[in-house]
Amino acid sequence: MKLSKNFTNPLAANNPVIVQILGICSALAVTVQLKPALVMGLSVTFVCAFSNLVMSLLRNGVPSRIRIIVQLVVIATLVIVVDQFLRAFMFDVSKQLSVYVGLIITNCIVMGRVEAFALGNKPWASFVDGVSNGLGYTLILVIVAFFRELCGSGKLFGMEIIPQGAYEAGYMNNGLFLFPPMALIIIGCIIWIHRSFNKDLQEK
Amino acid sequence: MAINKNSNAYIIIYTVVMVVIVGALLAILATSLKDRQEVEVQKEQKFSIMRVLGVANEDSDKDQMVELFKKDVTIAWIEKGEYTPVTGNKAEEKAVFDRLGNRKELREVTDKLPIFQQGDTYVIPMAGKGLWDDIWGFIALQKTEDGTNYKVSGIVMDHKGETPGLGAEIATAAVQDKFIGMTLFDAEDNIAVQMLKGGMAHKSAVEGSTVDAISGGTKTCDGVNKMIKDSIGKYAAFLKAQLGATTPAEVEAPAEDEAPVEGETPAEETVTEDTVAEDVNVESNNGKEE
Repeated sequence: MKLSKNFTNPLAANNPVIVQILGICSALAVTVQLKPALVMGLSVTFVCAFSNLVMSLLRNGVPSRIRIIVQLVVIATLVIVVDQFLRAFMFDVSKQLSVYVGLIITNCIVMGRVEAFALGNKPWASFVDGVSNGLGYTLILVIVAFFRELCGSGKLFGMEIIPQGAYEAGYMNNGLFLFPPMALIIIGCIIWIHRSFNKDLQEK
Repeated sequence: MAINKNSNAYIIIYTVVMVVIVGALLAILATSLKDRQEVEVQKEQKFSIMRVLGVANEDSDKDQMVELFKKDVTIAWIEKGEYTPVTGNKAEEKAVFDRLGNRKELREVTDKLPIFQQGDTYVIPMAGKGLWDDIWGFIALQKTEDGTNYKVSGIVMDHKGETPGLGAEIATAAVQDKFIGMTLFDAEDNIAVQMLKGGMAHKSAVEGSTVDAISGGTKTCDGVNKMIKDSIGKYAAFLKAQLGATTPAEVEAPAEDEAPVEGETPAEETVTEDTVAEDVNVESNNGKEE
């Protein structure tokens, strides 16, 4: 597979969230606002890219019997690095994300890519694969968070978008958007739109 | 000879080397970021204190508030009733904030107590247990006009795992604002501020000190009451000493009713007090337990 294809594929045609249906759980939890969603997406991208890179470098030396454990150690280490940096430099965001940063360890996208791609490919290709899968995840998170924050609290990145006049005229924020079920509905809609453009994905 | 990658020796050596490398890396990282993280945690606590003092609200700029805190607020220890300001002493300041960060210690230690002061208002850290897990917060106590009692001028509370929509409501402004203006000591010099089912309708309600409890969050409210009693209780001797000689007669509720009229209390507070009184009358607790 060519490198460029390798990069663009996970963004749309083989998106980890809406096609592979991985990482849904965190997509429901951290998408109430755009900022945590974006930080979460970038954190996953970082972890995914570097765990792919490290595992690809190690792939010839890892004893196959303990490879899953080795993968876990590498992923867990990277997640702790992210967590520590967030705590030191983005305290508020880290508070909002709370346990979900730690739960990146269990995000299926990360381990799935290591197992399916990095163990059989060269470091650079694996790194690119990690980045693009992470970005594919980020993309969906941001789309979902955009609608949830806009409709749920009338803001984007914490800035008031809906003019005060609209509220005075009787407009109200839709509280349902703040709850996880709405994230599932939005993801469902994205999958629907995505599949109507990609006929080959439709089940017969 | 090629190495057999599936031999036990190889696997064990591989594992040990990996663990040592990873462990060393993480240890270095954690130590090098520790200072920076502590600064952030301190900032958060200072911000909470500015909020309980009514200077900051949720949307205020954090750094600006931390600057104001430095200027306006005195950090102190109370050791055996002795008030020792430590503002400016870096090591002692750190010790105070470390104590705030350690909720178990905050609950249990009774001989060396952290306190914050701004003008005639004291901010006391609180820690306790809700229904499911830790609850904590700050309470700001301001001397009443006649100097015979304290009034709650602000409270912030947070929790780890209370039931959303019920006990977790203690973290909302709607509940916390109800405490503003409440009188601390009752006629017998006991700490009277508490949340009771039905508010004033409750049989042990004290005029001017009782806040309506949260429907369905009774156990959490009990936890809040215990937290307030225990945490402030440790400071009670000090607080009373600051009032000078208090006689029970002077402490009675009317003092608190007159206060807003005399005009020195901010108008805001008067308004809230009125609303609180209304709330107490209108709201009824359905008695649902969590």
